[in-house]
Amino acid sequence: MFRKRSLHTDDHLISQIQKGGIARQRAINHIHDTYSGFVVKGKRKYRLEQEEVIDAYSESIVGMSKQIEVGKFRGESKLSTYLYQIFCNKCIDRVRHNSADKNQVEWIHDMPDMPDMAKDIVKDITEQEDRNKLVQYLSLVGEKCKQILWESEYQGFSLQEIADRMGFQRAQSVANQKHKCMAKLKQLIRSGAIVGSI
Amino acid sequence: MNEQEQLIESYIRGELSAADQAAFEQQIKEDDSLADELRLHLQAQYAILASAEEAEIAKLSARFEQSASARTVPLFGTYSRAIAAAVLLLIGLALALRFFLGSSAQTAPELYAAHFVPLPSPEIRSQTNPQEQRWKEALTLYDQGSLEEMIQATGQLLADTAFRQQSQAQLYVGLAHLQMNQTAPAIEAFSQVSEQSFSYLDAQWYLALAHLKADQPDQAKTVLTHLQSQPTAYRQEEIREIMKQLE
Repeated sequence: MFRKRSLHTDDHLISQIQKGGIARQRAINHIHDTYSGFVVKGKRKYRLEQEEVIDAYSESIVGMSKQIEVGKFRGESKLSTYLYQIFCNKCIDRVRHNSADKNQVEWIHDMPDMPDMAKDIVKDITEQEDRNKLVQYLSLVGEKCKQILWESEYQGFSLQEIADRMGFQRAQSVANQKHKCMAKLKQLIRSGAIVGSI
Repeated sequence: MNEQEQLIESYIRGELSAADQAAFEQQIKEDDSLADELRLHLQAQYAILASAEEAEIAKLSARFEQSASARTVPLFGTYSRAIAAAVLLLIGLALALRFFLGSSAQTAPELYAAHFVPLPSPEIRSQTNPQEQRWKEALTLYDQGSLEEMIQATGQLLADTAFRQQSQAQLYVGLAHLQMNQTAPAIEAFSQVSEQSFSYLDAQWYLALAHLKADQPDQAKTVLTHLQSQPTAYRQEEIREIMKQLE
């Protein structure tokens, strides 16, 4: 009978997610593959369409990884229990047809060190601005910029790791390129290049 | 990055001292252009996080679909479990028979033959530069079985420093060599795959298989042991099975 190896303990997976980069990606894929049976349970329990349950499952894993990254989950309960709770809530949201903000980035909670004034501005942005429109700006910065910004800001890769992955000579080159990409993104948002409905 | 941008980043990350933070917030209240700049920075960060999150969710959902389709055996429909059980029973009987007849374990090249399944070529979504276009063409050659031509085309690409998918390319060059029974260049190519790349685990798996094919069981065991120590479960059952045979 197959037994989980000690390397895949909850503690290890949590530490890998907190490391960011490839370690995070591998840990997330491992969790995703290990608990994929939740989808079958969710489908049966909540009588949802398969696609909806799969999306709820994927969102739960991303949500859980964010909680781990900011230290809000430290292994007080089993990882599987915690994931299942998030997953059930996501499914219930869908049953209630309350999925309008299903992908909402809970950024205020994810950045505990952010000063209150900045949190207020973020809150205002999430309430006042068209999320889809903001997301679309990333498609205008180019693939290379998008990859650098995603990997450094969201996926937790170090500049050196990004340099290795993308074929830059030095980490400083990535830092310079990232700065240019950020400036480009801001310029696009400032110019209102994408017209969207609020 | 200019001083103002640096100050904004430090402020958002909560890295300023209490006094500096208070002074900065006072500045924001008094200076509309600075307040606009802070809001713009937060909008940009929000856009990055929201888009990356959506992409990750979509990727995980696609991963689920892929693994689900890999698990499905449509031809057998509802009888698949019964057939699988019967096959397992037969395998068990065959193994038991081998044991009682005193048959020896599989040789390294036999283990290679039993476990080698070539990887399908990856999907290349963006072709924003000529190197990506050429890489896609090389993969088409791989798909068509024109392995020599694929190796040649990829060799030129690998020499191009602007080509970004170096590790992925080394993996497929190794696979092409392996399918052409050229174990030494296959081992060389798999060994070139960066540990930081997404192709690393696959490369290590095929590196172990290449050593088996070259009848180098000790080297294969070393690579498989390394694979077993990776945080993500990767072909664990297959690896255990091979290790058992090698012992």
